[in-house]
Amino acid sequence: MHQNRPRFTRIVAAVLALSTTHLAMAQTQSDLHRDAATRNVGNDAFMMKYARAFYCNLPDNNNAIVIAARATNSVRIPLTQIFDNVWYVGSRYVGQYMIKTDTGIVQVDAGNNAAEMQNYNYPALQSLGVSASYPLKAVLLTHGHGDHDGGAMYLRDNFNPQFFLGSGDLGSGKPYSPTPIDSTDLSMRQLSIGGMPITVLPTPGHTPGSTSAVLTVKDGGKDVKVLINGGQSMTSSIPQVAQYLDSIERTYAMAKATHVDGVMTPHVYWDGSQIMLDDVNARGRTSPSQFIYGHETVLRQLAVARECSAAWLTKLDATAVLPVWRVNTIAFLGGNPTPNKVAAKLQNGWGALASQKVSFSVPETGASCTATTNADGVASCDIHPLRPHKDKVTASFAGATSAGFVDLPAETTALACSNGNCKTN
Amino acid sequence: MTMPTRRMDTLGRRLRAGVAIAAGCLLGAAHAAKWRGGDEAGPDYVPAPRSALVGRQDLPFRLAQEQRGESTVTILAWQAAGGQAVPLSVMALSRSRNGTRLSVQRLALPDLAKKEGGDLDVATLEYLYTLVLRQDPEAQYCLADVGQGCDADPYPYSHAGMLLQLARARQHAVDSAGRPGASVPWQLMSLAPTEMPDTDPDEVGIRISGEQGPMAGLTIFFNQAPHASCAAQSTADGLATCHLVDQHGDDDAHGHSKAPVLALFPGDIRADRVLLPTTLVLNAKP
Repeated sequence: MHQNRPRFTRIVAAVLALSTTHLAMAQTQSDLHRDAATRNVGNDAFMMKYARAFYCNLPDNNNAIVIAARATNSVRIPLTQIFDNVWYVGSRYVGQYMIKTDTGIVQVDAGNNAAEMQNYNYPALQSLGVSASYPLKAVLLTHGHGDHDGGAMYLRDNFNPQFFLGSGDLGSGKPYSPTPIDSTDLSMRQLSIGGMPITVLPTPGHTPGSTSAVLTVKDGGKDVKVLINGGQSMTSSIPQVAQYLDSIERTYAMAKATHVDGVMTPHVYWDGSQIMLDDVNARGRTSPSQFIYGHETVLRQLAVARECSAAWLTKLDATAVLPVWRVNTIAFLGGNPTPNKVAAKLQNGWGALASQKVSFSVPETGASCTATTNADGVASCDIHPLRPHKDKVTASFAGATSAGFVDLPAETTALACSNGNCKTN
Repeated sequence: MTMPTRRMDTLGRRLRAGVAIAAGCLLGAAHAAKWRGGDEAGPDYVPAPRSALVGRQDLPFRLAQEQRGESTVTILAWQAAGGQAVPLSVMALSRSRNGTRLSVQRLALPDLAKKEGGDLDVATLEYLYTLVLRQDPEAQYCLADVGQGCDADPYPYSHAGMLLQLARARQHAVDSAGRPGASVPWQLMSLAPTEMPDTDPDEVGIRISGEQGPMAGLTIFFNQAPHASCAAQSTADGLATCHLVDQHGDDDAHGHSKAPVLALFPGDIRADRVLLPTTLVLNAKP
């Protein structure tokens, strides 16, 4: 029996090797991107349960979760304050955000229908102080589907705000006469919407006129940037899904450039916002707000969305070969930065990232050094001067692109340590 | 009302690369001729995204996109290391009340590229197939060979018809290259409408066939604007049917859409054979 063991082991190894080879060969482009979406989630169980599941519902062949979510369109969530100056009103499926400014209210989206506006939004606006001198000034419509502009005529007739809608969704005309946002100009730009500066980005794909935005709200008295997604869910049309993918990539670039920390999603089931709303209603708004996910988490979610889009596009179009986006993290090794040496590890859901440049810097003094990661993903170099417990050291990876991967940038900052005594910010 | 626009150059650069493969990237034939000798100012080329359909992945394809009047032009070019990009083909998109039109103008191969022999011609057609697949299935299409133009009115081809023309042109290029076996054989696929019961307007179906007859076990995707879709696997007789489901509708949008149903076979690309992707536009049931 023992004599047969090595032979048995070899056979098992051969079978496993063949199976692995077969699996590797069988992995389609779509599978590759679905897997990447999962790996990019990291250890975030909440993102796995919501954003990963919903963004990937089509390539996962799991559209049932979206259909089930739609059944909650009539289940209301009470008017909920999510920031100092922002309230959510809507159902567990879709809702609107009301933003109080110095001169009036700006609303995002216009609900399913007139009855909903009359029964819920009208009282909500009244409770927020809408009057002739404090009007509903403007409504930014994320896109022109009926669950986002179905109540626009009611709002026009009762409050007469200025509506903003991506020109791609005007079709043969909308009865509430919106001000068009040029959907053919895909650049990010700032508009004054009801007197509020809002950065808009046309993001066609869900509809031709979908528009995403970044705006500044108040949380605990501080300014924070939040992202409004222009429209989730994909069709089964190659051109539209290609647009959607491109839009997600540009949204990522916008969120990074504007340093977004939070998200306000009209479809609150999509990223788990409804759970956050429940939490606010159960135990009050936390500090920071439950809707502040943190910059890295927002970018991670968008990277997951990008991989889900790539997974669906490559399922619809077998000719498409797309690089995989990888979310990277960089972390100082334990005990570092030390007074004269800094070391950080660069890794992602696939493992350590070798042969990549990492820059260390102390912005206050201008001290810096650059090192290349070894096989374990560790980069280390000497940096002078470095004042323990005084200097904040930033380690940054600028990102890299190869034929198969787009490695996304990563950055972290920590207070310089002394003899293993570290305090991180 | 609008404050001064603030644009991000970096986003713009990323965008130019992205839109090259997106919908709405094309133009009218009149402009195509202008690209025969290239633009003196030089369009902004980016590396062409990879396509699994192109056999010679090492050939340096580039894409550029420009707006010309009401039309959008996409230029497919070849660029040797250190050399200038040389246009190989120009796609032009224009939209009017009569619908969307797309022309593909093929250009003479550059002298510099002749060392690649017939491979460049074959690869160009393979890449064109990819680019056209990603365009609007409801558009009208025209293919103009070297020295010809797209003057037909209306444009003669449907999306599937245009793809078929490109596949035939590619086969001709393979034959002309005179290296049998060097290129992966392409199998033409076709989708045909099939009788469906009138009782349910959301019940959709097609029949898929290869060159030898009906094909089984292939996935067909159906899409109807604004966001109804379904997928089905073909049976032994090539029949693929399913029930359209509104993926993301609102409570007031459950009425029957009058938009056409687009059927899509995404293709099946393997090392030894290719089942070509194709589409079919089905008119909505009354």
